[in-house]
Amino acid sequence: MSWRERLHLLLKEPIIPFLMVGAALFGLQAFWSPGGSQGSAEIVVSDEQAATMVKAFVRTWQRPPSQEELQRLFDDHVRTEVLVREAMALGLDRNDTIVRRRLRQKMEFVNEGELKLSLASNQELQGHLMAHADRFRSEPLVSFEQVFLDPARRGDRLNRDAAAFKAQLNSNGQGLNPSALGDPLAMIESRWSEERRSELVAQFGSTFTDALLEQPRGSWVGPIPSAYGMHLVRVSAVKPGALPPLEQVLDAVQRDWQADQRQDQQEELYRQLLAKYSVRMPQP
Amino acid sequence: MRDFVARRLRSLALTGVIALLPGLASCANGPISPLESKANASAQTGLEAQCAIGNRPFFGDTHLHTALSPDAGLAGTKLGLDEAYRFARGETVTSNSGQQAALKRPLDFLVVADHSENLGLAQGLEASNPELLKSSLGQQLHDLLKAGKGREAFYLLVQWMAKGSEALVSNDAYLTSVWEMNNAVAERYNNPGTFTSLIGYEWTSQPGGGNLHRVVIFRDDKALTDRILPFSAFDSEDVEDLWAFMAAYESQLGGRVLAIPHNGNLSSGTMFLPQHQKSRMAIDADYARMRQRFEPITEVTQAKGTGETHPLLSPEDEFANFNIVDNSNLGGIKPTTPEMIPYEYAREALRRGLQLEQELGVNPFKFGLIGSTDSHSSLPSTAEDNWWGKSPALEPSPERWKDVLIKSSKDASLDLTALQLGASGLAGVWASGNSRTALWDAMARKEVFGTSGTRLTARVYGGYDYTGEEINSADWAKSACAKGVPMGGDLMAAAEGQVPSFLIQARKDPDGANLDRIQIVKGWLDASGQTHEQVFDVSWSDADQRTRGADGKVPSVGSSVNVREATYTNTIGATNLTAHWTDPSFDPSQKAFYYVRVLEIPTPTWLAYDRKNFNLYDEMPDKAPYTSQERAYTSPIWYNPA
Repeated sequence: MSWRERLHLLLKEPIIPFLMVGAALFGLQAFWSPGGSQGSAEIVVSDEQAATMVKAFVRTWQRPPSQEELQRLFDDHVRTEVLVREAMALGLDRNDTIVRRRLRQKMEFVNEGELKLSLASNQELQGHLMAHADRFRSEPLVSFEQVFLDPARRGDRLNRDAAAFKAQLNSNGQGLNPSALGDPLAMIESRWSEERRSELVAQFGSTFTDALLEQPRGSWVGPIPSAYGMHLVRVSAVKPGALPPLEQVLDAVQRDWQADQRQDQQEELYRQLLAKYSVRMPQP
Repeated sequence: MRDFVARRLRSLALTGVIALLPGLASCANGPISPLESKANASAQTGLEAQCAIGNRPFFGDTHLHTALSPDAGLAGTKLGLDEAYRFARGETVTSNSGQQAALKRPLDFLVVADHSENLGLAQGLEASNPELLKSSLGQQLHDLLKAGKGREAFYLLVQWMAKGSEALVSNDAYLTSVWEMNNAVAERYNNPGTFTSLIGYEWTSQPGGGNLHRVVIFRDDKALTDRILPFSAFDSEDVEDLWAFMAAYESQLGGRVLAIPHNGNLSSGTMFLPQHQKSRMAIDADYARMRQRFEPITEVTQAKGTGETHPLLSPEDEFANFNIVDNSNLGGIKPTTPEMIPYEYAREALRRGLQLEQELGVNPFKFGLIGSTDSHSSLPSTAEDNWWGKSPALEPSPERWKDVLIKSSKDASLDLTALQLGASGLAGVWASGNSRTALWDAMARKEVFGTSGTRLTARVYGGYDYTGEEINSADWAKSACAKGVPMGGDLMAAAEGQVPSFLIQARKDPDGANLDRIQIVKGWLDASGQTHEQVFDVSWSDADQRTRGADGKVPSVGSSVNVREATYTNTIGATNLTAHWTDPSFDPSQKAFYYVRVLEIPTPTWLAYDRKNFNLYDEMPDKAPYTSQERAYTSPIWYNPA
C-alpha cells in the first residue's frame, strides 16, 4: 500500500455503525481543530478526549477497556494526530479529491441550516404549477390488446405468421380469441384497460410503450418490438394526460416549490461566498 | 411487564392504563395457533389473503436510511424523508454530492427504516428543534444559527457530539417529534394504487459488533404508530424483548407489526443461532413461536452482501458464491471463522428449522425471502448502470471504488470495502393491490421474493393435483392457487400416492438481461434427523442445445459480456421460462421445503460501468467482480408430513 493510500484511509471517515459515531467524530474534531494545521509540536490527549474514547469503547465492547487497551487507544489517537498534522503540513489534504469533496459537503450542510423555508401562498403555487406543468401532468391511460410472437419459437417464420394473424384478427374481429393465437409470455395479460404509461413501461419496456402510443386506433397493427419479442396490438383508446387543478396536487406542488426554494437559496448563499473572491480561469 | 416495553407504548403509559400491563407479557408469550392468526388475516382482507391473483408483483425497498439515521446524517447524508420518497416515486432529486439523481423506473413502495437509536440527531440540530433547544447547548446552537454563524454552530455541535451523543436524543419528547414527523411524511406520500409508504424503523442491535438488526414494519397508519415510540437497541439488545414490544403493540393497540432480520453474514454466527441471547440456553418452543410469528421474512440480499447460502455450506451449488461478504462482523471487530458460517445463512437456517420443528414442535426459522437496499443516502437504487451507492461517499465518482464503507478498528483485512459491495436488492411482493394493508399482508403470508436488484418476475405454486396444462393458460395463477399454495405456503401431508409438483413462471426484467435458468432448491430432514439440500435445474434457455451433463447439471449459459466496454447483449438466454416440476425423490414422511431461484445471464456490475464511464482502466484492478449473474429467490413452500 502506498503512502498516499494509507493517508486516504486515515483521513476518511467511514460510514460506521452509530455506536462508533462518537469515535469517528472525535477524529473529525481533530481534523477541524484550528491547531492541527499550525504544526504545533505538542500533542495532548485531554481527560475529556480520553473519556470520549473510553465511552466509545464501552459502547462497542460492552465493557470498559483494560489499561493495555486504553493505552492502545491513546497510541492510535496520537498516531492519527501525528500523521494528519504531517500530511496537512505537506499539503496532502489540498489536492485530495475525497477530502475536498467532504469539505464541500460539510460546508453545504452548514449552509443548509441557514436556509429559511416558508410555505408558498396558493397564488405562488398556482404560478409554480403552470410554470412546471410537465412535472404535474397526469399520465396518459392506454387501453389495448396484444398478441405475443416469440422469436425464439418462430424464428424466420415470425413475420409471415404475424401478417397472417393480423389479417385474421382484422377480418374476423370479435369472433376470435386473440390470446389463443400467439405464444405464451409469462405473466403478461393480453387485454389492458386504462393502464398508466409508467406501468406499461414497467411491464413491457419503454420501446414498446412509446411505439404503442403512436399506433392508430381500432385495428390490429404491428408487429412492434418489446423487451420480450414482437407484438401485434390493437389500441382501443388513449386518454391523454392532463394538468390537474391545484387542489388535487396541492401537497406535491408545495413540496416541489420548497425543493426549488431550497436550491435557489443554496445557490444564493454560494453566490455570497463567491463574491468574496475574484476568480480567473482560462477560456473554455 | 418489562418497563421498557411499557415506556414505548406511549398512549398507554400516558392514559394511565399502565396498571393493566402486567398481564400482558404472559399473554404475548402465550401460544398463538396458526389457525387463529390465519382467521385473523382473512377477517381483515378477505379471501385475497390466501392468494394474490394479480398478474404482477410490486417492487420496492423495505430498508432505506435517510439523514435521520445518525450514522447516515453524520457521514454526510443531507437528503431527508422528502427526497427519499420523491426519488423512490421516480422524481429527480439532487443527490448528496450535488448530482442529479433519478431512477429509470419508480418503485411501487418504500419503507424508510431509519435507526431508532439517536433517531434524527443530526437533523434535529440542523433544524434547531425546540425540544432539543431546551438544553443550554441546544439554545447556544440555536442562537449561533440565528446569528448567521452556522459554521461556529457546526463546530460546537461536533465538539458536543464527540462527548457522547445519547443524552439529548434519549429525550423522549424530541424522539417523539422526530418519530411523528417520520410518520407524517410517510402519510403525505402514501398514495394507494400508485405508491405506498409503509411506516417502519430499524432496531439496531449489534452486541459486540455482531449484526442482529431488524427492520420493523407496521401495517398501520400514523394514527396508530404515533401512539408508540420505536423500541430501540438502547431499550434492549435482546430480540426477545423486541418481540415482547411487538406483541404488546398488537394486543394493546390492535395493530400489526413484523420484523425483518438482515445481514446474517455480518453477525459473527449469531443471526440464526438457536440460542437465547441472554442465557445462551437452547431455544424453546416459546422462542420458536414468537420468532415465526414476528419474523415471517428475511432480507437475504442487499448492498453489504448476500445471505442465501455460502460455498462452504453448499459445496455442490455452483452458483452459491454470489456477493459473499463475510470477513468479519459489522463492526469489523471479530473475524468470521468457519464454525460461525452455518448460523449466518438463510438456506442453512431453513434446514435447521426443519430439525428444530421436529424437536420443539414449532419451526423458528420459517421465513420467506426478500432483498432490499439498506442504502444510507436516501437514494434506494439497485441498477448496476444507475447505482447511487450505499452512502454519500459511494455516489458515482471516479474514486468511489476505493472507498472503505466500514473501517475495521482492528485490522485492514476486516475492512468492508466498496469492491465488495453489490448494487442489491429489491423486494417483490405478490399483493392483491398496492396499499399498506395489501403489501403487509403479503409479507406476513410470505408471498414475496427477493432479487439482487433486477426486476425479474418469479412466481411459484405447489400442489398435488397439477397436470402441467395450467401453466399455458393466461390466468394460470388462479387455477394454480385454487389447486395448491403460493410461495410462502404449506403443503399438508400427502395422501397415499400423492407427489407434490410445482408450477413456475419467470420473466426477465424488461429493461434487463435474459434468463439463464429456473432452479428449485430443496431442503429436507431425513429419518436420522440430518438435513440435506439439493439444487435442481428445472427450466433453462436453449434447452435443445444445452443438455444436462453427467453430473445432472445444465451447463453454463456462457457470457455475452464485454468487460472492458461494460456491455452485454441478450443474444443468449430466454426472455421468459416456465416449468412444471415434480419432485423426483419425494418421501412423504420427510419434512421439506422448496424454493425457486432464477438466474439471469451474466451482466456487467457497477464496478465495470464505473471503470468504463470514468476511464479507470489504469487505476482499477484487473481482477474484480466485474460481472455477475443477477438472480431472484422466492419464498419457500414447506411440506409437512402427518
